[in-house]
Amino acid sequence: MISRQSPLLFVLALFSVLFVSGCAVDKRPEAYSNAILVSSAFPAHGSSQSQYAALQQALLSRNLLIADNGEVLPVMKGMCEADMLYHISSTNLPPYIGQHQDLYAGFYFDVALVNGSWKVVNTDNDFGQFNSEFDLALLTSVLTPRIMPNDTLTIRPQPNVTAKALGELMSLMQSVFPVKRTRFVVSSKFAKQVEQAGYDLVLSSAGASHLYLGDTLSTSAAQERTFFKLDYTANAELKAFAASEQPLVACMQAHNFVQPPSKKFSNKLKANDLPSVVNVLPSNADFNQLSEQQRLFTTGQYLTINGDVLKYSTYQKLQAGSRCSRLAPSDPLYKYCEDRKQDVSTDYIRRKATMRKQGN
Amino acid sequence: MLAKGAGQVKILVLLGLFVVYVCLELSLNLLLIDMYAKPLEAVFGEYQLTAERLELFGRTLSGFGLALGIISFMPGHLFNVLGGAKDTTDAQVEQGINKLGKWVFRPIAFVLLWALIIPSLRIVIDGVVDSTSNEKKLSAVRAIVYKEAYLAESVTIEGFPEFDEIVSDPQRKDLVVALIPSLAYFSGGFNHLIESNLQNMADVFLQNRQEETFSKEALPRIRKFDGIYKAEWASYKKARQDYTEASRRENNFALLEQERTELLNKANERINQHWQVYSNELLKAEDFRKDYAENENIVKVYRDIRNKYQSSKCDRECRDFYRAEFAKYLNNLTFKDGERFGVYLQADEVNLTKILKSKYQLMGMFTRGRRAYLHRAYGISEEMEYEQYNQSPVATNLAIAVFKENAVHVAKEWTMNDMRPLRQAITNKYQGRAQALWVKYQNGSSFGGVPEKNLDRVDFARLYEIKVLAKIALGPYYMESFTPSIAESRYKKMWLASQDNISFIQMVTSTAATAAFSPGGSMFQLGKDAVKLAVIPPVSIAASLLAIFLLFIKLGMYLWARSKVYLVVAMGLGVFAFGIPVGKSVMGENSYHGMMVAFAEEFSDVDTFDKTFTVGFGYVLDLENGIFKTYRDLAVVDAVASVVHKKLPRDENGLPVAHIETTSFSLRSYDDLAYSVLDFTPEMLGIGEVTAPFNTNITLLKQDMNVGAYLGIRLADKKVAEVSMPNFMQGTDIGLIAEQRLFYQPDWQSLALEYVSNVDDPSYWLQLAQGDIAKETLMQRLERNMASYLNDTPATLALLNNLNEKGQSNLILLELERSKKYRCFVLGTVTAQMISESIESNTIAYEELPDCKARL
Repeated sequence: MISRQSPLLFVLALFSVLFVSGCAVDKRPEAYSNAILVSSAFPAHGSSQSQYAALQQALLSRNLLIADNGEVLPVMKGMCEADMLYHISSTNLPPYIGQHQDLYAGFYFDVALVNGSWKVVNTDNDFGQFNSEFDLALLTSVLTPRIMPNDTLTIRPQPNVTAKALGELMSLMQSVFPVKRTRFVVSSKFAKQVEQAGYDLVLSSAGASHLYLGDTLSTSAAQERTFFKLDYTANAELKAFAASEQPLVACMQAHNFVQPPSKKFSNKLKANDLPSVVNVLPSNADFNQLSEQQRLFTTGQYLTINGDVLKYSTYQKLQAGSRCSRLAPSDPLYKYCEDRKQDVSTDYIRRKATMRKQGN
Repeated sequence: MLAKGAGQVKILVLLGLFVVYVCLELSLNLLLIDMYAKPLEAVFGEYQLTAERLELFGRTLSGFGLALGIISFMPGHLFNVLGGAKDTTDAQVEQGINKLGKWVFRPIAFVLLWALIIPSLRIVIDGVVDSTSNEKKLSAVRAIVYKEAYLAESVTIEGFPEFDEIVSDPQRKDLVVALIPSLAYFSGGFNHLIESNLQNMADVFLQNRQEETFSKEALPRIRKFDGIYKAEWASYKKARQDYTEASRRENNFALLEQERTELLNKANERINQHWQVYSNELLKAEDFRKDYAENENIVKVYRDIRNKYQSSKCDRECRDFYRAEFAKYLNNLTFKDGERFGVYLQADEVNLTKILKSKYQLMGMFTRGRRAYLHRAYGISEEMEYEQYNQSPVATNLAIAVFKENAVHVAKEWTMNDMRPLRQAITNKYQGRAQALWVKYQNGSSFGGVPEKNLDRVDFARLYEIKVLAKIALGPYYMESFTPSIAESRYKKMWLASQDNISFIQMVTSTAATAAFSPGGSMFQLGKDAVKLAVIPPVSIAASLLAIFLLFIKLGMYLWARSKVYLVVAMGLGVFAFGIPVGKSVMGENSYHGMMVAFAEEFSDVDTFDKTFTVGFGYVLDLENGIFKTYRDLAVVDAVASVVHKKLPRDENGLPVAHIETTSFSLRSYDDLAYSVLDFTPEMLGIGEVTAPFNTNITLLKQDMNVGAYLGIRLADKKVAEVSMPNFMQGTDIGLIAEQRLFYQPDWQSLALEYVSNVDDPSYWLQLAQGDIAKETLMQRLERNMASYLNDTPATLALLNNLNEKGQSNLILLELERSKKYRCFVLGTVTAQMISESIESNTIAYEELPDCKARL
């Protein structure tokens, strides 16, 4: 194979072979490692304090989470099946605001023009009386370090606002917060003005094609404001709600997302530590009263989200049986629990008419 | 000798003719029984033409016998028209007839008489029928109702099971069925029995029909609905469970975290695997070059291109071209199975020099090409190290691809530490799965399902959608009280209670109906049919029997004088042919006369005639039974039957078409012609008045379904010209008073209405009689004022005109509860076959008029 004509040529050839082919390349690492860190990190508003570690695991399995301040919250945004907004009515914000990106979709507040300047106010759904106002500027300083770029601001000016005042408010809000979306809740007569200013519109009463503020009947102690949209069949769908004191209750009212208990309660259960209690609490329990739940647990009872004390056994009975198994036969609805009696024959045999002699 | 021989022949011929005649009479007799043992529906339907022909045959035969009888009993001298008495011999004088009279005039007279009798019988029958009183017609209708009910085995007489036994025995059934109407018609006791039970009979028949309808029509629909409902409930239950499970899966943080961890582990694995494969392949990059470099084909192509490249003519551009050519060739090389070599050589890497042997040149190029290929294929640059790669977009993209394979979609810009979008993407993966399951359920449901996801059995049963489903499934049998759980018997009861209880039987047999049998009334035709059906068949049957009997006597008398031998033979045959079967029948243990005696004891106790008739009827039945049993299958009877039988002509759809009478000469056309010529006689004799039918006959039914009144209405120029309200109380004292007393009352409108609602309340009539209510000849005044009243009620008048234009002449108005408003039904011409229709399951074609505006 190697030319024998000339030793020089042979050397050249050998060299060139090495040149053209090069040495083998070995890129095998000494050890493989994980490119992506696999951590069990939970959403930002959850507490990673070691005192909560076991409880946190128990809560996570129920779609819940405990925050640093000991408040139990929904584990994630999507749980409520509607956007949850934090309703600002004071400058005193819970500690998890600032790590709320997995919980709140944004903020909601009512503003009113008081003595020529815009104030954040505390008022009811109808914007009747308002009080405990504080300056918008103060809110800015409190909220700015905690706000997230993806947060949506929903601002409701007082209903009797003038177009001019609204204009001023909108230009005031232009550069205050570093957020991408700001919405104004106004009556339909200001719709154009809001949209022309480049803001999103929320109507203050029901209307087609726009989000609108729900009336007082649709609110609750937990859901302080509600926002609906009409679907194509004119059904009002809850799209968002504002909550402040009871975000868990508000979220559960929108959609009961709490997973069923992993363990069934029985009187034999001895362990009454918090994680064990969390594991048996029914889906309609109030998880923000865990110490009370712990106390009731020993008596075989629990506290529901509506504040009722219920027996575990009652709950289990309701879950297990259907209505038909509970209805008394005398109940007018009981008949719907039965199959039709097939007590008529398909082949009918005609009766003969009987002629009788009449007495006369 | 000769005369004796001629006498013998004559006797034999006579005997032969006698036998033929008897056979024909016998056939007629048996065929009549066959015919009238059929339901009226068949007699007036399929066998209509046969019945008509049988009737003509009967008249012809009877006419023959009658004419023969009359002629033979007429004194012979009456035929000596041409005065030929002087030529008569002694023998002929005895009989008082001459030769001409005997052989010419007597036969001519006989034929003429026969020809006259045929249509005359028809006229006489019509006359008799026409002159029958309305009460007798009503009796006849009752008799027919009984016959039809008896034939349909729908009626039984309490304490008299013998009748039931007979009708369920096909051997004995026909005879009794054919003859029973005459008993029911002529026997006052029997007729009264029927009359007093008609209400009950009508109710039973009606209820039978309704219950049968429910069982045959409504029940299958209910069961079909149950099937659909059960399937729907099962599919809803399953969908509900699936939805709950899927919905829990959608919002389950623990599962979400589990999936996230799995995905990340998979991604890490993929990233490392990628590098592992890459680095191994790189290591092996030069392993395979030798074989390829020695491949003859490749070497040949290489040399070929190199030669062209080395050519002195090839300039720089040409050389670049060949380098590119060879690079292209090498890069596109494939194995036999089509797999690519996996080499990527750039044109400037192509070595086409002749420094080394082509093999080494090629080996070098394969190695370089392979390495370049691997870098490209794995997306890793030559210089990149594992640690760099691990944090590079290559690794990130591999992770994104792994997510994508698991239906988790993150944005291209995703970075490895970004867990929020990954969580969101996993959530999105499951979002809507529950809803999609629900949509699948809804698409599979026969009624599009329901959006509610947590209904229990009670809620489901009460859904509006289920109600609609039931409405569709049950159609006309749906009522608001229907639920998926209501027991069939309970629903049946409710349904029966909701039905219109218009009973045809009750309507035509009501005492109030008597008036409608009057000429022009709505039941005029029915009355005539009923009388004919009740009277003619039994009379014909009896007459033909009598004819046979009389002829025997006649023959006996004739033979007595001529030949005792023949007499004995003939009488022997007669006894053998008729006497023995009849005797057997009379003596038999199932003899009818015995049964009828018992029947007469029980039911025919009105008078002696009644009792005698009933018992006599039993003997006739025995007599007829003997003959019928013996001769019903006789060949000659079948032969006559096949001659008489004529199918009802039908069109291609099987619907009867009008029979076109033959124009050529036939017995039928002669009969029709003679009938029209002789038509004047009844009028002359003052019977059978002819009245034009009313334009509209109104039957008013009260809330209790009893007949309130019959009104006959004549229209002229779209106005009510005349109203006839026959006083159907005729014959009773109250009716008499109503006719005779003079009354006067200005508010005739309310009077008319009162009349309608109180017509069968005797106390009302008593009040009338005492002059408390009205003061004029009531019927006249009512009739007159009803006409103006109807003319003043535009809606009703319009309805009447409308019906008249459509040719519908029977309007039945059913009073709605507590109002002067009515529901309207129209009915075709009332005929006897409707009786059998209403007893059999076929419903009478009452047609309800929608949006009927009739008000009275």
